[in-house]
Amino acid sequence: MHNDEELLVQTIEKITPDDVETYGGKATNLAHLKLKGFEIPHGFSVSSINFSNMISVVPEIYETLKILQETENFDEMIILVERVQKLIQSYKLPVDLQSEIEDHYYRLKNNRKNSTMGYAVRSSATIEDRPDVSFAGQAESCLCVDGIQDIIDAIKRVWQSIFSSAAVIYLKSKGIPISQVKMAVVVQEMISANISGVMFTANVVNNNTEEILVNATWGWGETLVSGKVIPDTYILKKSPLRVIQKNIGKKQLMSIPSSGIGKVHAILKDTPEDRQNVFALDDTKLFEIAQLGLRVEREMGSPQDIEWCIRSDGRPVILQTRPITTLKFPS
Amino acid sequence: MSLVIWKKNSQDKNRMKRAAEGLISLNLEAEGELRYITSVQEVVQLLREGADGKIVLVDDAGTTFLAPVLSKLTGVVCISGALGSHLAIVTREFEIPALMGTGIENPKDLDRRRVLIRPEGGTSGALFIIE
Repeated sequence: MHNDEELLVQTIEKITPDDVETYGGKATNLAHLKLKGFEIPHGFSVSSINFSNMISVVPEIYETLKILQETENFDEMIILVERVQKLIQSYKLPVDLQSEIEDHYYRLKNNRKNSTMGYAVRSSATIEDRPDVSFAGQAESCLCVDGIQDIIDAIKRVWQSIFSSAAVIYLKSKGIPISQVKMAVVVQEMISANISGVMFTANVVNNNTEEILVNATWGWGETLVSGKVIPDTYILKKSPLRVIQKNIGKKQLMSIPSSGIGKVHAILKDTPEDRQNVFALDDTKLFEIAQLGLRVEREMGSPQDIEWCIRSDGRPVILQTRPITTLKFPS
Repeated sequence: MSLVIWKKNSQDKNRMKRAAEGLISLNLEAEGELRYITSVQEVVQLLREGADGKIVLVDDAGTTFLAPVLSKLTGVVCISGALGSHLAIVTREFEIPALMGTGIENPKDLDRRRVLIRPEGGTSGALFIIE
């Protein structure tokens, strides 16, 4: 199924830019940043080879995907995606893969004993690298997952999510054959975040590459990317770095770790009123985030769409970076 | 794409009532019949009815919800969210404006009304009801 050069699972630090087809854009971009000294969450990537193997060893999945690719009938699509999802759910991981995941999981857990909030299990699909396809929000991310069986179940849930009816329609509308999608999965430590956000190192509204657009909210960024809150918005000029627009958001909800006995999980809680109407970033932190964005942009060679957070000790961490998919310039 | 560019004139201005403000994902105007959508069943219903040229109003910015109709819509209005939300990113890929974080309190009142999304400089935008 795979040769010796292609590892089933790899720690993020060891992934190289040439591995993008194997470990996907998210893992490869994070590895690039790690190599250049940026702070990223520790973790590993389950290669897309495992995803392809699953499709090739379960003929029902392969056959159903072939029909799914051909059909334009929405009702049929719903039936087919449900069938594929059930088949993935009941798929038993090969022993060698299970053992590799266990090794990496326990190594990560032992090396990061202060990480008490479990792990984020997220997609790293190979199509996410295309300059015209973000795949934003199409695949599922599982937060605060812990315990080897839960990690394995979460990996399968991420695989399943690529075949949701919404994701399939997104792919079809972009003209991407379903068979072309290969899904690696990243397992990263959860970061204890006081503030999280998204930053575009170009203003995507007016295509201005001299401006930076930042969204920020309290707690984890899940509320922001899924649009459950109105976060703060900041627009900055790059040179010299200065704020040109600030809009305060309502930030009614925060995604935070649960407290109490047992496994930690992410919960939504009302933001205390005295924090709802206060900017999450003061100017010092905002400039620090913006400068970090500029460094990432320089390193990656193009304007970036970056997910970041600020740890409880005040240090910023890059959770994800990808090229901005929608910049347009006059020809 | 069935984007209608609004032509400013005094007669039109008199017919427009400002309904909400928000952050606009693209510097584009869009006009169409608004549909308030709260479930995937309503998305399917809209798809069957014909989503072409419609503007959809949603509570939050989970993109997966709207995927079946995104390529047919003229615009999107979202009660919550901002420019970094997945919905804003994906609607930009389909070259339609999304007015995010509008905080609309009575979304049902806007259902089936003819509306206009208009950029107002910077990242600001507004939603107008066309009387």
